Amino acid sequence: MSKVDLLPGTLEMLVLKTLSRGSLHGYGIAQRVKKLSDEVLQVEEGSLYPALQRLLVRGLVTAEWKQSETNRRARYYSLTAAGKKQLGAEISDYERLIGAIGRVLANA
Amino acid sequence: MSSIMRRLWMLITRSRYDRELKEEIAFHVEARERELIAQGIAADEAHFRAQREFGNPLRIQERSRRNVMFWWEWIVQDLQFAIRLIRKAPAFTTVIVISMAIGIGATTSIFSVLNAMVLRELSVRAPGEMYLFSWSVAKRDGADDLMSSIDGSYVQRDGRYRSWSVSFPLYESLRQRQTQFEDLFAFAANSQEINIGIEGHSYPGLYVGISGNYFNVSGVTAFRGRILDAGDDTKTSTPVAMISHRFWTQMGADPNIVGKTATVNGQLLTIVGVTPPGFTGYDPSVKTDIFVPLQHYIRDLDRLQGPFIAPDGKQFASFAQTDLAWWLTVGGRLKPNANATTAAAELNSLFRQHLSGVMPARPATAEVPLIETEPAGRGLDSVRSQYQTACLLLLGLVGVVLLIACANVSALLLSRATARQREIAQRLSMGASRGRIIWQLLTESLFLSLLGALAGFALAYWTSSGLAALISSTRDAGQFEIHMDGRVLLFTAAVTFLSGLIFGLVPAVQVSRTDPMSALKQVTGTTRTERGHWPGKLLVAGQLALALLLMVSAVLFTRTLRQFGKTELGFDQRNLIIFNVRPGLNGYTGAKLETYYNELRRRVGSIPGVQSVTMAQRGPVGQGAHITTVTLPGAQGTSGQSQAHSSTFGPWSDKETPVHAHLVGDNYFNTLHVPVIAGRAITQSDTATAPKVVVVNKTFVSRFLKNQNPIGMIIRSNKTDYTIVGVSGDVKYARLRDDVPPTMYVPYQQRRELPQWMAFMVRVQGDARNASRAIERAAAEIDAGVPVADLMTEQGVIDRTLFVERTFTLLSSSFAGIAMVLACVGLYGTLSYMVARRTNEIGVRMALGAQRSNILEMVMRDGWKMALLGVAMGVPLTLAAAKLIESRVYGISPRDPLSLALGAALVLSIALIVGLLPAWRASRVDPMVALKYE
Repeated sequence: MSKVDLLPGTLEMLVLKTLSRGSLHGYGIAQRVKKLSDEVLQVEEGSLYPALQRLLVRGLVTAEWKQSETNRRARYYSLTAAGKKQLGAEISDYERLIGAIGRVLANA
Repeated sequence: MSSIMRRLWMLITRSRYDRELKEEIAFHVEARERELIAQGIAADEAHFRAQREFGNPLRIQERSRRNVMFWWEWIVQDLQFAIRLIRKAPAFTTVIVISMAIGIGATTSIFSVLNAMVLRELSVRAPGEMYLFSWSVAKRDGADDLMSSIDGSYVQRDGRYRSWSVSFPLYESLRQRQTQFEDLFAFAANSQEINIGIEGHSYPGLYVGISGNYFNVSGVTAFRGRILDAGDDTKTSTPVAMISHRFWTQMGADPNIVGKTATVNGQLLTIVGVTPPGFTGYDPSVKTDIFVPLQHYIRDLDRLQGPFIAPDGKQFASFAQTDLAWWLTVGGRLKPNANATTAAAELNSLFRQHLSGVMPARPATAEVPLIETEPAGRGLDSVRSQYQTACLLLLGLVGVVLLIACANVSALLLSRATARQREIAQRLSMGASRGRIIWQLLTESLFLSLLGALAGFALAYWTSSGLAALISSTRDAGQFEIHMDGRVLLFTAAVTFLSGLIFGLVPAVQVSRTDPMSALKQVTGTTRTERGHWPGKLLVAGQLALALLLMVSAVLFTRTLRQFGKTELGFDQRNLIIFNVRPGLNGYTGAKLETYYNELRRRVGSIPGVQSVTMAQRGPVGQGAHITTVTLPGAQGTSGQSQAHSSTFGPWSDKETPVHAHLVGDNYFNTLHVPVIAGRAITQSDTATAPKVVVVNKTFVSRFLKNQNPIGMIIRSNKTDYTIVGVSGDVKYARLRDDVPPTMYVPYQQRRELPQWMAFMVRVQGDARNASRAIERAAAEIDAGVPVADLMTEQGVIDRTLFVERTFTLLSSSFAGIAMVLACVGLYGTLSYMVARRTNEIGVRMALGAQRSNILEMVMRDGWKMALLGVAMGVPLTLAAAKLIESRVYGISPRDPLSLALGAALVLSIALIVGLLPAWRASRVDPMVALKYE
């Protein structure tokens, strides 16, 4: 199955969305995105970690160290209230965009 | 918590943050590895794949950190790195800092002079609101019928003839009726020479008349006492004056000066204040000592020069009443909402109205001068533009020095950067991006540039005060002080930044091209690296090319100065003392004045060591000239020209022709050592009552009286007939650049009035200083109220007129010297570096039988190639730049092949000598050591 690069700007939205179900570590986020998209979407590690730092600085996520399922210390990220609000805004923006593109494709 | 706070927190806990990021990434890779193993992949293979999939962990770490860092953390990080490297190579750093200090220091120094002379604003309130009025006409004589005299400068600019002087009635009428300026003020366009007496001392000086509101409109407050105001400038005011801070300091800075009385030209004035330091008036080229109200100034003018007589000889008037004398510069402070162009339009219409009022009969076709409002925040434009080109030219020359310094540092950095290739390669392979490396290298060069600038600024501070002293020592350059103000700082900062960028960019880009794999594998000492050194060679050649440009300029300026030195003056300037006395200003007239002159002459003549004394209204060279018009009623036009034709341009018809006239005493030609070619000199028997005689110079005869015997011929001047009794050699007056004009010498007693001042010329034997002191004593014995002014040796006078040329010679030679030293350092460094890189190769060659002389030749050839390339680039560059220095060169062409050849020979021979040392060292290499060398 061929892999598709993410649309620019959508990575942060996807990260926030994956975290809305509960806290996860970086590797878990990458895995979850891949799985939920039926392995179509590939999250580059080179983009994931810088994006997580950006979200941290903006206060949209917080991080804490916890024991992982494999009993190793891992950094878990979870959504803040501001993060939830931002996610809602980004999703509605995204839907408006997709809707608009869809209308153009259907009617033009 | 804001994102800035979060960033700050991450900054404070940076080391923990870094550790955690690293751990997080390690966990990621490990988790992937486990997953792969769980999928049934062998442990080794899983480990390898997990790592490969993840990519370069350092790079990801770096990119992640970037998102939480402040922008300045980068700079701090880079600077820390730069300082570490600099401390590792102190000698290298020192050479770079010295190079940059010289380049930036010299540039800053010249700019500070330009700033002080051309750019700096006057110390008046809101200088941007101040305007001075000029008027201009299209034809030189376009306004001749409107005026019989113009004071101040009358210059050609933008194809029009321009003056900054108007008549007093015009000033009054403009002032009363204009609406665009808060108020108009005025000052005399010419500063007058005066005799000042204060508390028993007498000083020669300059004073200027100013309108009562001058200081108020300018927004200048008194340093001591009070300013002059409108109440001081009426016909009935008690006579008062303000003295300049400079003159006050010169007199010893008496704290109780206010209220004391000064005698100015024999008139008593009460000193009411001292102007603030740095206030120069609107013409910074004039060192004004005393400011007096216009009404007082006009009384002096009328007493000493007038009353003003119109050309028809009928109209007598005070300078306050005549429309024919244009002697007053007018300006104003523009109202906040007004606009200078609209204001000028109003002034022009008021001017036309005024003209039609005073000259109703003037033909409508006659040209009306056009008034323009000129920003005066920096003083009179004519003065500024005089120095502007000279300063800009010097700035251009010094800019070349800076460019050489930059090229030099660039070459040094390049050679080191090549040595740093391994380090760079490591950093590249560990995940640093090329942009990041370029930034790092540029930070280093900017930091080096900054260090150089700090040292350079100190250097500039020190040299510019020397330059200021040098320039201020000449009266013509006026007064100015050099301040390292904000504009100079800004300039230096810009120069520093640009320099760092210029010299850092080439090496940075060059190094960032490093291919990490080959650089890491590469062994130093192999011959293949040497081939790629062309940017370094080019930089050295470029330095030599620019050095050649400066060298040729220096040669040209030096030869110009020598041309002046060789100029045929027509008299012997050695052992000649010259000074001025102005007894006429103190009220001496008629017989009393003549007695004063004769008595001074007798006393000076009896000073031991004085061989002869003479006087004239103006001394030779540097004191200007008086021009009068003459006709030669008895002469015929020169041969080959018909009478009708020649009448258009010769004095032999009724056409009046301008010649230079000098009022001289007897013994004149004798004392100056001017040969009398025919007839006789002017003698003691040519008194006021004797027949009127003149001596003319050789040029006068060759121009007007070819093939005729001049002796006995009549010259008519001012309706008076003089008989030519002798012909003298040609003497230079005024400027050395000018050709000798037709000149006539008239016995000073035979003019209608005795001159109010006189230049004495004294031929001495032995030490001029002793004679000078005796001269001052002799003058004080006659009248202590008449000071001796401008007492100098004639050689000193000539040197002063050559001040600009000497400055150019001095500075351009220094620049050329510095440039050559810098270029040599560059050449030496590059050659040494190349030898070091090729030690291995040299060893191989020697082992294979090459002679030491072959090696010597090989390295010398490298040096030669760079020098020749430099000269090849430098010659067209110099020829192209010749146009820029054309106006400063005298007596030789700026493209003079000899100067060019001389400069090229100097550059080549110096380069040859510099190349010898590395070449010699290369030839001394021990092949056994060299082969082991790595």
